[in-house]
Amino acid sequence: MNVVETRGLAKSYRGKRAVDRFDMHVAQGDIYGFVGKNGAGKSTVMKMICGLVTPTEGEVELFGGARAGGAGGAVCTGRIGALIEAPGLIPNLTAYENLMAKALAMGVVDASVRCREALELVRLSDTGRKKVKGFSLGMKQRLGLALALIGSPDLLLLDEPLNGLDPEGTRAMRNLLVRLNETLGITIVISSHVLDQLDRVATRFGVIAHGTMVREMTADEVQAECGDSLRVRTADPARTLALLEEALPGAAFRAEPDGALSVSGAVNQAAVAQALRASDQTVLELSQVRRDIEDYFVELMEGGARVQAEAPARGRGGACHV
Amino acid sequence: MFNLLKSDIYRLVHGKMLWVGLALTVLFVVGAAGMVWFATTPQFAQMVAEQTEHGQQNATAGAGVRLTDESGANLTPEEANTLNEKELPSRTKAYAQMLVTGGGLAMIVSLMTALFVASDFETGFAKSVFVGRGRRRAAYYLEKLVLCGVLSAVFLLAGMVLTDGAFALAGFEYRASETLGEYWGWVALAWLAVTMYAMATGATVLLTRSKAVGIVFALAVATGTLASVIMTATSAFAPAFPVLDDAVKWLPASSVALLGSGGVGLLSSTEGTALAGLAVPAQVALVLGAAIAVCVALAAAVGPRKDV
Repeated sequence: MNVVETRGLAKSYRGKRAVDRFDMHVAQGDIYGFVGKNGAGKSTVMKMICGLVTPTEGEVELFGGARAGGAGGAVCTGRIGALIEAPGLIPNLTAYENLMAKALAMGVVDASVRCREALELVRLSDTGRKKVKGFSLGMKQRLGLALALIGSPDLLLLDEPLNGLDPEGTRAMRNLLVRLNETLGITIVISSHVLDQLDRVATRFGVIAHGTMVREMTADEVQAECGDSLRVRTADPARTLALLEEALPGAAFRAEPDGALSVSGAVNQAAVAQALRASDQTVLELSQVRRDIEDYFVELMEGGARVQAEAPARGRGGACHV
Repeated sequence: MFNLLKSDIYRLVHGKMLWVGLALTVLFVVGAAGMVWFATTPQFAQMVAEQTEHGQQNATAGAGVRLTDESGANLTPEEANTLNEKELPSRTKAYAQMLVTGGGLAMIVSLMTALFVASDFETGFAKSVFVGRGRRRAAYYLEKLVLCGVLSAVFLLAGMVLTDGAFALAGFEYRASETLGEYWGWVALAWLAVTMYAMATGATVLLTRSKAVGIVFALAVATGTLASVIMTATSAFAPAFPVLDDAVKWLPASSVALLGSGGVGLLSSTEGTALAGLAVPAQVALVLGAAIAVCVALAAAVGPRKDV
């Protein structure tokens, strides 16, 4: 079952489309990495999903049933927790009091117990009478997450939860999200610029550019597309390309600016070496290269509409040329 | 809605704002009672006697200090001497002058409302409450207006207790005693007046989501400044347009002014009313109730349609 499914979602502000024809699919149990540049429309999409912003067009289907969009809007109070932009912290209250205020507003049963559990979960139970205005950014982010967890939601929407965290804080937050997903079965949608961190937790990715979903893929697909490739440099690159295309029909090729060839897909180093030796090519370099995931996503985001058009033609786990 | 109200009260009790507001009320009431008490001291009596005598000597030259009654007529020396007596007309008259007609209490409650409601949007707390509700947020907006009523009741009761306490400590007595109906009837109308100002401020902040607009509104409207400007303008044009005189009587500020005479005879009074035969309580309740209904309708109809 898809916990979140959007169809043709659009949002206009003063005639300008911030989000357009946006389709998204988040399955139950996913940790969905939502990737996009600043201003791409990530926050607007997340706000539409949790009902803070009314879509201009399209619809949001939540938990396979309730629909948002148009005039009515979804009513899934308590099933969605969100940390979008300002986390809703009241600076003059303690962490516990902040949680109690939210819990009372939501009518949570045993509010005091639930708040202490949430503080324990985000490791803020030792903050005592300290006011939130004295918290570090990392503590505020964790408290924001605890607030989102009040009401035991089935879906968490987190907008840039890793922003401003130091390496230790980032790791703690990352581990906590994985724990919430694995132990409590919470489906999580995280938008983040810290792509290498996202790569470590996400089970599925969605890339947004200019308000449109460029591509959705599983973590395995991303790994396959960012997988190893071979770098081949010979004395005669044009002839080498022709020979390898003939010898290795399952591979994909890309010419590098320095004259080298990048070979990816279902090939291994031995097969390439054998093909080159058989055609008596002078090999200057033959090495294995691992593609950077950040480069991959940046290319996807920059490729935007072009990549979206090409995406259906690509096979699962095949080579990706953008 | 009850859950939201519980949450707001929790935040107010555990935060600073409520206590700062109550402290301001204490200062306000004690300060005002202190001034009334000073008017009863021998030093003040001597000042009054000197000024009255001096005023009479300079009357022909148009100089000196004039002591006047509420209608603006000069006080005789005997009447001026009554200022030095530790006696007040009635309990509700004392409340009216200390808390209601000057707009002091309404201003404190309205300012608190503006700051509290605006903080929901500034901190993002409103956003966390709205998650998953879609557009069905009317309960949030209505609850904020109910909170205005609760705050008004708390501050009015605190002001009344403080006024009673301050005057009792200063040794004041009341000339007239009110029936329970007169007393609580006046209190109910005073609550309606303070609530109306707080709700108008609350609705303004809910619709604009601006703390600055809320503060300016509280200062301009709850203190009666805007009403004074309107009344001055209408009195200037009233000779040409007599209907303006009647229209002014239907302003909420005019209804609040009617509460200034306190609760004695309030239930049967028709003095200063806009329509013949309509008693003061009925007009006050009608005008203030209508203003409150407008605030509620605006907040419930427009607020939920706005994106967060």
